[in-house]
Amino acid sequence: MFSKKMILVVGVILLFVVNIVILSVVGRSRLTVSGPDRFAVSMVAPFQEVLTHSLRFVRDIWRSYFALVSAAKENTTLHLKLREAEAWNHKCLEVEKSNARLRHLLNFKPSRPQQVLPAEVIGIDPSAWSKTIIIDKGSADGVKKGFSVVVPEGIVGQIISVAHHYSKVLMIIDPNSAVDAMLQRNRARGIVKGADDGTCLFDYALRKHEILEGDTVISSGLDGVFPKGLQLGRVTRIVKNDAGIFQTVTVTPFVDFEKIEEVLVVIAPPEFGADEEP
Amino acid sequence: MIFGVNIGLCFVLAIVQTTLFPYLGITETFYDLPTLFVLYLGLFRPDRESLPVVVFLGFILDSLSGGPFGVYLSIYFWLFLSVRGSIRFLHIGFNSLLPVILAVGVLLQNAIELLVLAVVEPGMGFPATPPRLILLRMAWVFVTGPFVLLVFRYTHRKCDHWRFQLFSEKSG
Repeated sequence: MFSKKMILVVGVILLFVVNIVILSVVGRSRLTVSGPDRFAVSMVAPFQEVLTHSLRFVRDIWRSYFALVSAAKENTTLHLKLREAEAWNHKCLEVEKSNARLRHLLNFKPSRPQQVLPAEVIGIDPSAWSKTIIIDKGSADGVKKGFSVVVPEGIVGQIISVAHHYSKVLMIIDPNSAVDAMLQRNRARGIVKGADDGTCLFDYALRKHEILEGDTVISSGLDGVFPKGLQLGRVTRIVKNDAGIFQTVTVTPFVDFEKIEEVLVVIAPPEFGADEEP
Repeated sequence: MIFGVNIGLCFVLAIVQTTLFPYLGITETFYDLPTLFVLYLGLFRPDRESLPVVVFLGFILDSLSGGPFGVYLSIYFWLFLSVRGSIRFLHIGFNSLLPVILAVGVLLQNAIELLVLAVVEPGMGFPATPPRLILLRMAWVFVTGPFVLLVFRYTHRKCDHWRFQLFSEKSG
């Protein structure tokens, strides 16, 4: 009744429809992690780790032995910067002490103590549509889903999946990432979301707030994930439309996500409210 | 045995793509290496051997990616089917036409990627990969693709040779 060719065409169309339905369903539960997923990461990650260490070893040899000339020049500059930093550090210590005294006077609670766990980046997301990294610390090291990941320059992202010795980190430049944030200068609040081009958007910033290019955006700590006061980025573009109550603000992150090698996982105390693994 | 070799190749390609390429800073400009393996399987290896490997490769890449699960699986699967369908009409070997076929394959992979992402992430900006980068990737695969394919072919030939020797010894 039906030719072989027709059955083949119908089969392919059916397969295509099933594929679209499955992808649509999976797309909605994007961050759900299954057992086989974790198994695959555990299988691949040790080799990624070995390769990463080998590459760094070769690079370190290159830097140590063949780049000594530039290192000497850099050393002089860094010595000068160190002196400046020491002076600045001294000032900061004074401010910290006076801050502690004032907090004591006002009977403020001390900020939440933060314990951090250093980790190495061993793999980067192969896709262009998702911004995640794989680090070499997992549930065996006390890492849990929802913990924040930082570097001295600012926030990197948060843990979205944990294997025994490895974890996946969703970076703040991913379009699915959101951080409750505020401007350091005037405390105007908004949500920092990842854009498609490697920058971020400072969403829900009210038009009434005066935002300037160069303003620093910091975490507000109100999302219960990221500690308060961590740097996110600098405002680089502001668009105030004629209509609407919000303005469009582009933020360029302080962290160079292309060059991250080591990160710090903020190990939160139990009452911090990180999600347990399903 | 051949399945084991293919699984090993999948791991190597996934590791190179997620560790070596980002380290060299060529993730965006260079083509997706596992795509080349899918093209190779589609062009030169039998269905029974290739299809499980294509699915496995998609699964591994999906696991390493933070994106929705199934994107790579779908891309590689449809790419494989497209190549399989097209070789019914084209007779492709290791000849001068191969670089062009590989470049078209990379273009096709980006087109399928765009379609799949349109289903999974409808709100995402268009396009996922700028045309300039796609052209650059096509140029890369045009130049280097056949050499990488030679490595795949050499590995499979060695494997086939060992398998043949093993069966010959067993049968007497």
